[in-house]
Amino acid sequence: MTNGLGSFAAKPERQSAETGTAQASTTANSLALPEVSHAHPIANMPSRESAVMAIAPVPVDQAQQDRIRRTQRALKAVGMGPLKDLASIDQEANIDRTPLPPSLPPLRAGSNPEEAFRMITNAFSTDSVNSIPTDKLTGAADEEQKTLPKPVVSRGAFNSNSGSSTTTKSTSINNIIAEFAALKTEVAALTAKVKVLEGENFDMLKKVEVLVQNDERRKFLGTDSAKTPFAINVSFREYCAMASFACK
Amino acid sequence: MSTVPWQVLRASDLANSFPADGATHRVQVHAELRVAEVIRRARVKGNIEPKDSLKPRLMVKDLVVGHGMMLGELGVTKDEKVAFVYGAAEEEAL
Repeated sequence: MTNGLGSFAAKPERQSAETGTAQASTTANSLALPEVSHAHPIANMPSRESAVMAIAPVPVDQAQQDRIRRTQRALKAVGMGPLKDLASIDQEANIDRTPLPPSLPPLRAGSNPEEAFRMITNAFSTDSVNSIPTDKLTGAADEEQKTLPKPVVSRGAFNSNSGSSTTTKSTSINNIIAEFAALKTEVAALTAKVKVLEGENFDMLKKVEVLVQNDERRKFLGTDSAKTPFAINVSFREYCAMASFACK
Repeated sequence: MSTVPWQVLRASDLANSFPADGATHRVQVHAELRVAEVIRRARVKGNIEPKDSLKPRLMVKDLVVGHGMMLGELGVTKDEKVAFVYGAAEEEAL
């Protein structure tokens, strides 16, 4: 544009150059504005030095350097030395900031939260859900562990493009199912244990109640006390959730 | 009387059919005994294990009474006819 047009184009070129600089200055202003707004309000206040340069936008790093210089000057006026480096502070205080060794690897796949999240997301994607037949979901844990890896191998032949990803998905689902089955068995064992303990407690109760009632009779029978024992007729019936006509 | 329908239905049944259906036992009580303790004694007398009676209730004068009430408060006297209503294992789902 500059060379080919000749001398007659020089004047508009200068005009355009002027407008271009003006535009550049405006863009520089607009670019500098958010930086100024982010800074502390005290830094924006016009001081003696910055009042001269208030028209032209001040570069950011220069303003930061100004601030640092000002704070250092203020510290010197107060009596404190220049700001120390963090490393020197650590050296003086004998603080060891070397990064800690990485934590031990998780014992199983489910114990790592990220791994568990990935397992769950893989499990809920439609691809892996379709890959597992529904009749395999019900049954003992040992049978599932034996039978479920089979569809993984067969799927490798169907899907050659992403064989490794499908295997990881299916193994994760295997893990979930195995853990669920283990939990179910644990819960069943605990329920059985509770029932056994309740039964034992009931057997003890039978002995204790006899003693208590004998003692009650010995202490209060034939007295005018409120604890004078008497007998009532108790009928036993099992509660029926249906309407009464259905229970008869 | 009571807000739960089955209690009302059971009460009418009880009034009509006591003590013909279901076993009956004589339980030793006194006026300061609480309903919970009566239920305990009734369980022992009837040999009903806790796992078979998940929601035990005592019905006095055709009403289900709270487990903290004392028999003196309820006006239970000698040879009173009360009912021990207990739920089966299926009731747990309710």
